[in-house]
Amino acid sequence: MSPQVPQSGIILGRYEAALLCLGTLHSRFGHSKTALDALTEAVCFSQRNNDDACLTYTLAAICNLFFETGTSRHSIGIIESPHSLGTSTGMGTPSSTQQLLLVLLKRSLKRADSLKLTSLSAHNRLTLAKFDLKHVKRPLVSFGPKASTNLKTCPIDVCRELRLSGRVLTDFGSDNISLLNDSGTFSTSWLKNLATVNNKNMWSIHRNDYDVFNWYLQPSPIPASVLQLAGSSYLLRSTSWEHYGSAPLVRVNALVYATCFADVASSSESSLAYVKLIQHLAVFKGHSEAFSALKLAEEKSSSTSKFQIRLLRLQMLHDRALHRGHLKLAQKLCDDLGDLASSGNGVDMDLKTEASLRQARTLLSSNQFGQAEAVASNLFCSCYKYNMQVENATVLLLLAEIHKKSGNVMLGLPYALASLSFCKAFNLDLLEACATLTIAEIWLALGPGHAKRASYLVHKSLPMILGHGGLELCARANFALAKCYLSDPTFSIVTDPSCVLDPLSQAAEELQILEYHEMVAEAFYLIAMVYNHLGMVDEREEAAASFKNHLLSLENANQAEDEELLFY
Amino acid sequence: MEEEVEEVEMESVGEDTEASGSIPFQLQFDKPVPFQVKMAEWNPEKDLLAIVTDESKVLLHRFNWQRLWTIIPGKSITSLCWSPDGKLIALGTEDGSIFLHDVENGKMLRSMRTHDAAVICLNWEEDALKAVDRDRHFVYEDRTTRFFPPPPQVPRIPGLSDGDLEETTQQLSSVSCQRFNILCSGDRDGCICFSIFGIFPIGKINIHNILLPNHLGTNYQYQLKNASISKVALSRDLCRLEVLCFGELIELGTSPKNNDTLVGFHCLNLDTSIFLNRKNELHQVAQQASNIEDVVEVVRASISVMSKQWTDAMSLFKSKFQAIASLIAEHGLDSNSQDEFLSLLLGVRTSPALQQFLLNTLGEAGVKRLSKTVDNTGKEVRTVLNEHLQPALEIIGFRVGELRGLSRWRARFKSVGLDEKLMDNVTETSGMLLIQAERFSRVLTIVLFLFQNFFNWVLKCTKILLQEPTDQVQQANSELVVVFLKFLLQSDPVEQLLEAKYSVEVDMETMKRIEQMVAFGGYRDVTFLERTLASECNKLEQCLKEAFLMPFTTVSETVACKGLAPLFPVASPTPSTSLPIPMSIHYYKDEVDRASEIDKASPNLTDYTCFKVLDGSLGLKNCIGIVRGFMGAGLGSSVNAEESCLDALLVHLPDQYDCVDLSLYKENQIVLLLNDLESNSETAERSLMVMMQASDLPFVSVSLSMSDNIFLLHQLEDSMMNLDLDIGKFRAIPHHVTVPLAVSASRGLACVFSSQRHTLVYILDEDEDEVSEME
Repeated sequence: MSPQVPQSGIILGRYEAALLCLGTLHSRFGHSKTALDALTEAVCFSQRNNDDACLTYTLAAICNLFFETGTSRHSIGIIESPHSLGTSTGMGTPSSTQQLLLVLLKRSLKRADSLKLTSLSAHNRLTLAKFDLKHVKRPLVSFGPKASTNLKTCPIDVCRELRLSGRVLTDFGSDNISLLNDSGTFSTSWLKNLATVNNKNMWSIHRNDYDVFNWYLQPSPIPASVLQLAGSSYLLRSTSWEHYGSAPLVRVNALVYATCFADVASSSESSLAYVKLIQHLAVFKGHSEAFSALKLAEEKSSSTSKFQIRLLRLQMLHDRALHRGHLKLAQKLCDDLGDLASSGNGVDMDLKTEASLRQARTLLSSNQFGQAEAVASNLFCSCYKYNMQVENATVLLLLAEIHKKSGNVMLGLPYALASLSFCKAFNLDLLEACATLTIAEIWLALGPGHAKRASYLVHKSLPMILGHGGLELCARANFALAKCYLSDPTFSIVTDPSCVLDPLSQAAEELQILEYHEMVAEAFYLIAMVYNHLGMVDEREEAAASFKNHLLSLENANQAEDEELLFY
Repeated sequence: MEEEVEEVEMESVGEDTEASGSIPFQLQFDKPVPFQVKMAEWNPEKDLLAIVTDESKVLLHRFNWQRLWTIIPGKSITSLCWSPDGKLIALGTEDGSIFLHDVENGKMLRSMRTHDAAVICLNWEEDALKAVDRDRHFVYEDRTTRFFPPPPQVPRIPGLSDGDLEETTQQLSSVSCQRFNILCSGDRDGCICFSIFGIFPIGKINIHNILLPNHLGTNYQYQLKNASISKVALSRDLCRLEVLCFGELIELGTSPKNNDTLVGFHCLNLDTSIFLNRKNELHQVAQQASNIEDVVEVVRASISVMSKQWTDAMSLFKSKFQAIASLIAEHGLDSNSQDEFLSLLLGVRTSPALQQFLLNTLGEAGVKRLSKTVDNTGKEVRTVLNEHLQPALEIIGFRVGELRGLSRWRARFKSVGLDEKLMDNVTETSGMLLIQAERFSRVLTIVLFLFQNFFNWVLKCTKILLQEPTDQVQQANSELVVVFLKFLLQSDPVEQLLEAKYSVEVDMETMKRIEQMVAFGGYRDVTFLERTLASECNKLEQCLKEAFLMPFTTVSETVACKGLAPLFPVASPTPSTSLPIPMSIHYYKDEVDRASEIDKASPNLTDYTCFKVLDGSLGLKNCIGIVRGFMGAGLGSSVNAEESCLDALLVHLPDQYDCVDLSLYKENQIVLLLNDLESNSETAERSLMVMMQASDLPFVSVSLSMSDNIFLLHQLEDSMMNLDLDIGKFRAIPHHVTVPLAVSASRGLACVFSSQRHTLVYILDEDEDEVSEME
C-alpha cells in the first residue's frame, strides 16, 4: 500500500527522495518514530527545494504511517511536528489527531491532483475512504450556534472516493510516467509469453507460431502497481460493505478482485480477498464448506500471506469450537490469537481487540459472566482510549449480551441502547439490526407483558438480518420471533401454528448447518412442545428424538474435543 | 368577437352579484375556449384543470384560466386522471398505452404499453387510511440514498444536446418518497391493469376469465362475454375495486337460451385486499424494482452509447487504413498490411506501397488527426464507463441485494410473489455484470494504450521517411506495436464486448481460476466470461423480467370477484357502447351504522354509484340510477347469499331535461348537469346544474338474489322517484352545455363547458368560499 516511490519528477535534489525512501522503509519495518523523523526532514528539504512532487509523496507517506500506527492519543506528539511545518491551519486551537490526519490527507490529495500524480491521488483517495469509513468528519471550524454538526459518518463520501480512486486506469498513460518508467519488465514478460506459446504448440508445426497468440493472454502493458491500486478499491469496497451491511456486495466485490486482479495482486491483498470470501462462506454456508475452501487457500498462499490465512484458520476454528461447545479448545485458540496479536512486528490493535472479544465470548459461553464482563469492560476502555469507535459498538453489544445471559437483564439494556446509537452514527446497519434484536430479546426476558414490543423490534430488524445476516444471526432472529409469539398471551397456537413452527424449523435448519448443538436442541424442544400442544404425536416424537440427539452430541462434546485438541 | 365575450362575462358576473343571495353556485368566470373539450379533470391538490380536446391536445389551466402548457401527444386520448399527489397526469390512449406527464412542464416521463385496446378509464388511488396496527406497520427505509450518491443519468450522445433526459430520470427516482398508491386502468377489451406508483405493473386481470358469483344460492356461476370496461374505482383503502362494464352475462353450465336479455351494464365488486394487506411489502418491492428498472435502463443506454462512439471511431480508422490494401494491390505485391507494417518495424524494408500510404495517403497530419480522434473517443467511452455504467451497476447490485434480502423473508414476501430463487439468480447476474464491466475497463485501457503506442510509432516512421527530426515524437514500444499489428489491426476486442452477438474466447488460465473460485463461493456458471458485456446485460434484463413477473402473476391471481350486480339491459349493443354514458363512483365515509356489515379492516366507507340509464332500456326514459353500498353487500354477507342486498334508487328526470353528465361530489352529493330541451336561443336559462343530497333520497333496499328479473333496475321500476327540482340546489346556466362536467371536491368547484365553446366555473361550496374569504 505504500505509494510508489517517484523516480521521475525529482530532479532538483535527490536528498529528500532518499529521506522519503528511508522513512518509508522505516515505517515498513515498524520503527514509526525514526520513520517520522526521516519523513519530517524530507518535508523540510522538499519545501526548501520547491520539490512539490516529493512533498506530496512524503505527506502521503506520513498519512500512511499514522494509519498504520493508529490514530491514538499518544501519537499526537509525533504528528504535531509535521503539522507545525507549514501545514498548520494557523488557528492555534488544538484539533484532534484525526482532524490533523484528515488535513494532511486532503493536502496531499490536492497536491497530487494538481501535479497530476494519478497513482498517488488514487492512493490518497483510498486512504481517505478508509478514514471516512470509520470516522465522523467534523468541520474544522465550527463557531456559533448555526454551525451544524452532523455526528454521523458519511457513506456517500466513501463511495465517491472509492469510485474516483478506481479511475486510476482512466488517467493511466496520460501522466506519461508509465512510458518513461519502462524498465523492460514488459519486454521480459512478452518474451516469456512468446516462449510458452512456442512450447505449448510444438505439435502444430504447420501453423505459424505467431497465429496462436491469444489476445487475452498477452501480457498487459499496464504496470502492475496501477492495476493494484484499481483492485484495492474493490477490496476496500468489500470491507466497507462489511461495515454497512450488504452481504451480496461484500461477496461480489471480493469476487471482482479475485477474478480480475488475481494476476497482478500482491500476495497479501489476494489472500485478503480469499479471506473475505471464506469468511463469507463460513457465515452463510456453514463450517464444512468454509474449511474446504480454506484448505484450497492454504495450498495457494505464499509464505508472505501465511499470516492472514493462519489468522483466518484460528478465527474459524474458534467459531466452530464455540458452536460445538468445545470450550477448552476455544480457550486455547483464543490464547493463540492473543499471541498472534502481539508478535515481533509490534502490537496490532485490531487483532488484539479481536482476541479480547473472542476471549470474552468464550468466557460467556462457559458461563463465567464476571470474568467475561471484566474482559469486555477492559476492552471497552482500551477501545475508548485508542478512539476505536466502531469496535466500541461491538464491545457494548457484547456487554449487553453478557448481562442478558447472566440474568441481570435490565443491566444489559443501557449497553444495548448505547451500542445502537453507535451503530446509527457509524451507519453499521447490520450491527444495528443485531442490537435491535438483542433489545428485543431483553424485552422478551422481562416477561410476557413485553412480548408485543419485542415482536415489533424483531420485525423491524428482520429485513436487514434475513437479507444480510449470517446463519447464526438469522437463526437467532427466527428463534426470537417464535418466542415472541409463544410468550404473547393473546396469541393462540391452535389458530396459527405455522407462524411459530416455520421460524423454529428454519432456525433449527440453520443451526444444524453450524453444528450449534445447544441452540438446535432448544429449537427442537420448542417444536416438540408446540406439536404436543397441537396433539400431533408423530411429529412431536420426531422433534423430541432430534432434541435428544443434539443434546447427546453436546454431551459428547468433551470427548470429541479431546480428539480435536490432539488434532490441533 | 373578443368584445362580445367580455360583455357576456360582465353580464353574467353582474347578474351573479345581484342575486347572490338566492342563486346558489356563484359563477367564478366565463371564458371562451377555442376548441371542443372531450375530458377535464381538476387536480386533487391544486387549482389546476387538465383538459383534453377533441383533437387530443392536452392543456393545463390555472384557476384564473391562465394556460400553463399545451402538449400534443400524437395519439388519441381516451382517458385522463391525476396522480393522488397531483404531480403527474396519466393519459390513456386509443392504442392501449398509458403516458405519465409531469404537471410542471407537461413533459412525458414514462410511457407504458400495458393494454391491447383503448384505455377507457383510469383511477389512481392513494392509500388514505393510516395503518392501525403498529406491529404490522414498520417504517421501511430505502438505504440506497444513504450509501450512494444519486444514481447516474442516461448518458448523452455527444453532439446531441438533449436536456429532457436528465430531468426524466430525476423525476422518476423521486418516486421513492411517495406514499403507496395504485393506478388502475380498464380497457375496451375487458382488461384491468394495476400498477404501483403508476410505473410498476403489479397485476392484470381479464374480466372475461373471472368467475362471477351469483347470489341465487344455486351452483350457477356467471362469466362475462364481449365485455368492455366503462369505469373502475378503487376504494380509498385500496382493498376493493368497483367495475362498471358493458357485456353479456352468460351462465356457466347452461346452454344460452335467451341471451338477449343479459346484455347490458353490470357492476362488479372485485376483491383487491392484497393491496391493503400486503401494502408494505408491495411498496418495498415496487420501490426497489422500479428503481432497478430505471438504472438498468441507464446501463443499457450506456452500452449502446459506448458502442456507437467506439464503432464510429473505428470505422474512421479502418477506412483510412483500408487504403494500404489497395496500394499493395496496385504495386502488385503479394502481402497484407500487417506484414508490410511488420517488415517496416523489423527494419527489413519499407515497401513502396506502405511508403506511399504513409507519406501521401495518410500524411503526418493525418496520423496526428487520427490519433487524436481515437484518443478522444477513448476518453469519452471511459467517461461513460466511469460515470454511468459502473456506478449504475453498483447501485443495481445493492438494490438487488436488498430485494434478495426481502425475498428471504418468506412469511411476508412469498405472498406477493417475491421468489428467493429468482432473486438469487438476479443477484448472481448483477455480480457477473460488475466483473464484465471491470474486464471491459481493462481491455479498453489496453487497447487505447496500444493505439496510442501504434500511432506514435507510425508518426515516427513517417517523420523518418520525411527525413525530419523525431525527437519530438514519444517513444514507442516495439513489442506493443507487434501486439497491435497482430490483434488490433484486423479485429476489435472492444467492439466485441459491446455487442451481444459475439462470444469471447477465454484463455485456459483464467478459466481455471474461475473454476477454482466456485469453491470459494464464486459463480457456479463458470462460462460467464465467455459472454460479452452486452449479452450479460441482456441476461440481467431477462432475469429481472422473470423475477418481477412473479409478483405480477401472484397478485393478479389473488384478485377475485366478490359480487355482481347486473344494472340494466341494453337492447342494441353496438351504437350505445361507443358513446360513454355518464356515470360516477365515489366512496364516502359512512355516517350510518353500516360499518358492521362491512369488512372490519376497512370501516366506514360506503360506495355510491350513480349512472344514467340508457334511454330505451327496460322501456325507461330519462332516468338515472343510484346504487349505494354494493361493495359492502358483496363482502359482508358472502356467507349467506340470501341476505346480500343493497340500497338503490331510480330517479326519473323531468321530461324537458336531458341529463348531460353527472358527478358525485363530497358529502354524499350528486351534481347533475341537465340541458333544457324546450329552450331555444332566446331563453336565458338553457340548462341547469342541480345538486342534491344523495343520503336524503328514499333509497329502496334491493336484494341481489333475484330470480326472474336478473337486472337490478327491474326491481326498482315500481319505486321510481320523480325528480322534483325543489329538493336540491340548482342554478340555471345561460348556455347549452356539453360533457364533461368537472367537479373538484377539494376545492368545491365545478367546471362546465358549453356547446358554444365557453367554459364556466362555478363555486359549488359557499361555505368553503366564506372560509377562504375570512382567511
